[in-house]
Amino acid sequence: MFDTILISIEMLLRFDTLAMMCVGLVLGIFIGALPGFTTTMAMAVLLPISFFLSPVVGIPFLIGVYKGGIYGGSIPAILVGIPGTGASVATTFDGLPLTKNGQSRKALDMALAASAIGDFFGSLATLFLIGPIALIAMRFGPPELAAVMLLSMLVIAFSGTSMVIKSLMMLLFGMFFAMIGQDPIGALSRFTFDFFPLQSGIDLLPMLIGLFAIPEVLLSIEKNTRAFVEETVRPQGSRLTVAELRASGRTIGRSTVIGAVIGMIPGVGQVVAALMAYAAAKSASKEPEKFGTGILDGVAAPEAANNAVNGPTMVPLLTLGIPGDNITAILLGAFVVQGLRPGPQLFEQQAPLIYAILISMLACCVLLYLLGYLLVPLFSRVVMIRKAYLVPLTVVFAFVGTYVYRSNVLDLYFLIFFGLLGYAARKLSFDVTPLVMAFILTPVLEYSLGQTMLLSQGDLLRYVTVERPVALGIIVVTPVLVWLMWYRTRKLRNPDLNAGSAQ
Amino acid sequence: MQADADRPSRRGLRINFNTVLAAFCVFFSIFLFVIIPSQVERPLVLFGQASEGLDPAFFPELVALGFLAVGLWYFGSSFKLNDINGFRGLTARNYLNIGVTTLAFVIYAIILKPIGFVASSALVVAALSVFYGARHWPSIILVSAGIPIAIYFAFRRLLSVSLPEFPDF
Repeated sequence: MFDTILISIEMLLRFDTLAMMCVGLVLGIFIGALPGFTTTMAMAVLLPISFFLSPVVGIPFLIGVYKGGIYGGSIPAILVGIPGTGASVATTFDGLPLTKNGQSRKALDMALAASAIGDFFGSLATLFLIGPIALIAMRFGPPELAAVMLLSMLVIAFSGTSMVIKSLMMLLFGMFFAMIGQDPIGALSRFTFDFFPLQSGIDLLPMLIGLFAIPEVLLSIEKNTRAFVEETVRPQGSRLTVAELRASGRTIGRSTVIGAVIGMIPGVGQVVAALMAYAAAKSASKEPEKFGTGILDGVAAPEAANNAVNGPTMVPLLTLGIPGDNITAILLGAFVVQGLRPGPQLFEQQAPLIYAILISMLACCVLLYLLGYLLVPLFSRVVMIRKAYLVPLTVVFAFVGTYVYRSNVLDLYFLIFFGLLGYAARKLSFDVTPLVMAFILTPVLEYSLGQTMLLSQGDLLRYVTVERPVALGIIVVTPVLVWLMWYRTRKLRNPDLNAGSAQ
Repeated sequence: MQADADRPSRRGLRINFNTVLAAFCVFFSIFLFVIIPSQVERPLVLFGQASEGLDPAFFPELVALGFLAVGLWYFGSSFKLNDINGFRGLTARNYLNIGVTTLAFVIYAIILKPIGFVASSALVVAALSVFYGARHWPSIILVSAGIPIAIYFAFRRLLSVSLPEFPDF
């Protein structure tokens, strides 16, 4: 393993990799700092740039966008009380009071330090955990893979942000869209309606950009305000001292552990991690009454937790090819376009590349701190950028990104279709994550199931029960795991349930 | 206290957007069952023996069945749901903004290839900027022309990707 890590470090030591990581971080912080624009949107819009770079440059660039975006959301949360991304909701609790007390610079510095530290240790844990998990995954054949895909799809549907029934409906739509074109086994056409361009199916890229970027554009232009924030914003007060950072060390450590554990659970994500870490910090504090009035621990806890989620979300993606959330689904898109299919085989064939990507996550954390420290005053002005210019430019980025991949105008119509679908889904409280996951996983599930059928020589029941005990085990535990995930997610999202069960 | 918490859901026993979507789900499943025989190509049967592999219609049928089951479940529970229809709070002005922006998307998709990336992007950015309230003409011209040109050269020079040139009839 250590030999592989050394080769990976060698792969990463390139000027263009480091430069693109910096570009990704700056763009991520920039978009993350815009209220209403999410990290997912930043990733979707900037995804096509990675297609034209080598994997060791393009993927770290996107990781930079990811980490920068999650941190960037804290800037407006602290300065104007509007979370730049959902992950920063908990940061507003103490961030804005600190700004009102004239300590916004201290709060921004604490958010940056906590984000970088939380992210670094979350990514470091990923680096050491991923190897053993991949070793188990490498023993998986088609029946086990099919069982894991089925389990993942159900877990994502049952732990989504919307109601289970709505998530299941989106899951089915994702499966349907995935079937348009040719079947993955015999290349026989399905649902093409004799329209030749549909033979190649719907591409993942217009779906990703359409579902994640266009709805943000439409939601932000519903109201015709010219800027995101119509006031002058500037960081105030002195910078964070080492003693203040040290005083929050315990909070940062606890929040990092919470974030890293949450990151490994598909479909839970940064928002829950940040809220849980904030609640944990408050209950562990000797002065819980000060939370919400403007204390640095109140900024450190959610920021360390939401960034610590970033690394561990890569575990199911890289070991099994299963994206746990929207952002890792976009990263999966980047891998696929580069000709790499995340999963056990990739780990076997391209271990140095995987470790290079994981190490780039650590490097990104260091760069995030350096760039953030230098550029915080500049990024804090981002919230004042005029929406009237920014929104049309986002549209251009979304369109050009979709077009360049296949130079196919039909993709632009798919982009518009999925954009409107994503917008309607947001308005009617549907989570699009199960749709995307089903779209990505259905062909793999169908292919694995097809291979399993051939291997079973017509007797599937006997083959699975007698010859594939691991696949059988996964199938048996699926309903239990799905129920546990559903119950756990409900409990995490609805603290009243905890109170209710305690009484 | 518990009775109070239950009351809104009991009061909400009425047809709502969820009921309509559930009905759509059921109709979509019926539609799928109807079109599967004509829209899913059958595999060749060699020497009169069907393949032991997965039938290409298996997943489509599974999905159609799934839509039917989920649709019926959704329909049954939709009368009790009281989640908010996000479209209801929109004003005529909001709808106009969405409509104009969607129209701009369609026009952009149509003109991108014929008039080229730079010209079509400049037109769309300028038109949308003005519609969203920008009135400072030097900034509008700078943003709408400058940034598409910068993107064009960035893709062409740095990423070696060609975008539709002007004019491309």
